Amino acid sequence: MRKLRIEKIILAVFLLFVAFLIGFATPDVIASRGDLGRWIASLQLLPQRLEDLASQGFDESAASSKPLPIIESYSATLERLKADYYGAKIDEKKLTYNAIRGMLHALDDPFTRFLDPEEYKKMREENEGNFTGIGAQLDTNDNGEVYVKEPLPGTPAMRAGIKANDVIIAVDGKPIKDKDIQEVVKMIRGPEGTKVKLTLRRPKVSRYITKVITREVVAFQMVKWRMLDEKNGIGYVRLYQFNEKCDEQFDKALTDLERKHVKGLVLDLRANPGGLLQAAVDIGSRFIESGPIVIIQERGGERRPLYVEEEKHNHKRYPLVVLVDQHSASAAEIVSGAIKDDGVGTLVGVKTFGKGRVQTIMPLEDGSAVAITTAKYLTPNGTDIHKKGIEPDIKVEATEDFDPNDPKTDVQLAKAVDVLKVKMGLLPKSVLEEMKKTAQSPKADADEVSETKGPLNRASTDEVKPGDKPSGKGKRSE
Amino acid sequence: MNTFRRIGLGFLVGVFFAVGYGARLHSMARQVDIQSSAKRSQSSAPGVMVAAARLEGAGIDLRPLSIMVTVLKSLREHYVDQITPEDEGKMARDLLRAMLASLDDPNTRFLDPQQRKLATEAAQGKFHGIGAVLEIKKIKMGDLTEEHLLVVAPFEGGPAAIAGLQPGDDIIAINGRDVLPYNPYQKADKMIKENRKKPVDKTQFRKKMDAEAERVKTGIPILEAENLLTSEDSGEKVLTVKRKGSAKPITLTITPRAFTVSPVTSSFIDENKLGYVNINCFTATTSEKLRAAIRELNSKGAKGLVIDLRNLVGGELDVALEAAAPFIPGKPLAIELRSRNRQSTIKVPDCGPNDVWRGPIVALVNYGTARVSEVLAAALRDNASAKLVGENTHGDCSVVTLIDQPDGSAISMTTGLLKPVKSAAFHGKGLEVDVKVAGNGNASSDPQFEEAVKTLAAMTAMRSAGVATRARSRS
Repeated sequence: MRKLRIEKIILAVFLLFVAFLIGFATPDVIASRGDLGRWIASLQLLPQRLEDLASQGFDESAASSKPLPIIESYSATLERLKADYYGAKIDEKKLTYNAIRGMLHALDDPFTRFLDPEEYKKMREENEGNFTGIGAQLDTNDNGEVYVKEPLPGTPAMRAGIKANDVIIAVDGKPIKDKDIQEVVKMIRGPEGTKVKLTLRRPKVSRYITKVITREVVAFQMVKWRMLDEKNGIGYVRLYQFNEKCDEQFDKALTDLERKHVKGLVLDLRANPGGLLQAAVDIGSRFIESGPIVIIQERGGERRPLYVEEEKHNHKRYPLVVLVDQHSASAAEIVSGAIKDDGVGTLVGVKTFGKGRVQTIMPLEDGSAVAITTAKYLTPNGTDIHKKGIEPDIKVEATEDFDPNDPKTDVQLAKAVDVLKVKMGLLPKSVLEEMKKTAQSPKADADEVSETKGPLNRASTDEVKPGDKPSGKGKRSE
Repeated sequence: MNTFRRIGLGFLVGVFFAVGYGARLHSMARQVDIQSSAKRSQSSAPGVMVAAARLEGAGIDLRPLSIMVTVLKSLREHYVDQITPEDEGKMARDLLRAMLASLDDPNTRFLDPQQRKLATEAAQGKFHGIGAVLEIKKIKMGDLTEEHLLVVAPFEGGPAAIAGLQPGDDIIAINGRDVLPYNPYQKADKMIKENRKKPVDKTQFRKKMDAEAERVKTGIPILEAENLLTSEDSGEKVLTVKRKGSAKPITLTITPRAFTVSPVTSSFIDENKLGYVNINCFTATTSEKLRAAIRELNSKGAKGLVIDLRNLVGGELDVALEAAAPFIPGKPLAIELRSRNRQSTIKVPDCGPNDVWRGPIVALVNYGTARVSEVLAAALRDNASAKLVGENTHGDCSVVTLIDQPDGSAISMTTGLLKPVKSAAFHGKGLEVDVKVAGNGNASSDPQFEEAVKTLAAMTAMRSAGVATRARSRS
């Protein structure tokens, strides 16, 4: 009895299967319109058609709008170009570099970017704070000639007797007339131990001077300092960029200023595009007593504070004013944000750039690299300044005629000194109140500045945490 | 009980039959879909299939691939925001766009699904936007090499043609917004460089830089500009174009709209002794319409023929070959050069004897006669002793293949170059005409047409019947 029942079930299932098959074959039979040959052919194709059905499934939308797979699209297109493209020879490397650039572009994050081997090498030099050259700082004069602004102390340029205001006429016998300052820098730099011949015109010397100089590893000068007011003990330190060497140079600057009896300090972070995260922690530790300098927020939300490094507390405490502007970005904002939150100094200038993202550089096997935004950072009290910037305590706009090389035109610096004097008790507090009042009126402007992606601001838009170009200074170290 | 079971079983049998029936119908419909989409990629490119990954194989350097894999892996694992499948789809498209753009070849580029759809519709004679074929081309001007948005040709009867847009026009602004090249900062960089070399007054320089920054800020990126003019958007567009021979930029107001172009129009000139055939676009029905026109001309005893190839941007090679059949049946159209030194002669198919045109031919061409059309013009001259009247042609003999992608986008790629069999190659130069006559824009007279009739009349050794009555119909 039981056996019979199983047989019945099997029979029923078989019946259902046959019903399905007949149903499945019917459209083809109808389509064959009585033609026996086609009828049989269509039945012979039945197994294959069933297979088709199984592989296709019923999901129609999947077939039409599946997103393109990245790697497959890239390699299929590249192979296709190599096989069938008619035109210039396919440069696989160039195409791949541009493909990566395109892919990163889709993320709409200007800081996640590709660096070709040359760009990556330049970035590494800047991060390490070294380059191989002769150590002369170059600039362009009013006649458009490239001249030596200053030979850096202890460098081959200094030892070879190159002097400030020497105009460069030729490099290795090639005249540099009509060449851009960056091109001249490129010509002078070269591998360590090689020689470069400079032809110079020196003021009040009738004949050209020729110098053959051996290239050496030279450190970028990232810190400049001087006493602004010897009588009142007002010192000034400017930090151009955050790299591996800058803290050491910064330490030296503070030591020297202390020898000159500094009692109050202006720290200039204007046009500082940032640089290495660690350097920001180092510099911040010079001023802040304890607590975090910055809080790194990883993907997923985990917060990792980076604390003050106490071994950097080897200097005295004195009143501090920090100068910032719309080009102060990244590491510069970490330092000024920490100082502002802590209250150890006063921020003067205009709202900062607003870059609150940390990039990690991933070197690639062919010497190129990719910078990827891997984390956010927050100021010690938890503020995300990305695309917002940091508002200074006292707002002072630069004037139209501001010339970075001429301190007399620098109203922001003048105001910073006034603020410092108030803090040092040299001026009454009312000066500060007055300043705050007048600064309120022409505001709106700063908002726009940091958002503008115009060519003038582009240099800083491009800057990325580990290693930034000191562009916008109009000056290059050689 | 047993009856109940039997009824249940019977019902189930019925259901299974229906499911099987439905499944097969569905499967058939899908098959048709797949076939037609395969045909779509076939039709746009003979012998082309959807690209497949072929990674293994001798002599393939895997390094670029492994770099790409490393970058993608790093992004997936470390990028500050989780990368979604939608992000990846966009990344793949931007990747292809940038990679293909770096070849600096106007015909090799990425088409997003919207643009791909427009290409399909164009092959059916349906057009959108201002109604013109545009191309993005790098042009060196002074010491700046930038991409320009150029008019290849306006379509017959479209808004652009009616407004007077001409082949070769360089579109420099749309609604007052400057068309920006891929790198819009080149001009600013150049200004900074020049200022470094030769500093000018500081406030003056700053003003100039501010104006430049404003220009870039308000400008329209070239890809966006192209989309704006070719897509289904219908708002009025004020175009500022630079035209050869005109010192000042010209302003044109065009209202885009969707329109359909009749592939072929024909008529008689001069009391049925001369025929006029105007090919307006290459579609699936172009050849059929053309043959019908030729049949009619033959039956009425036409002695000569003017073929108007002006403002005709060639489409698919197969369609053009079919269109060439009544004039040069069985003759070679051109030699196709392909990569890795492959080449083959492209032959025009044969044609029924009633559809063949055996009389003298004058072909009207201009700068808007581009791609396959100009190759056709050269073949008509070489094989059917046609005379070319008008202006030199565009000079683009590329064979372009469309490769459809699974997401509806496509890759357009130059896969070959057509070269006349008998005469000299003219790619990059343009085909020289036999009788040069400048066009007259949108004016009511058509000196090129009149010259063509004159030339044809001389060829048919007929007495020039004074001013030819112009019976050319405009659609």
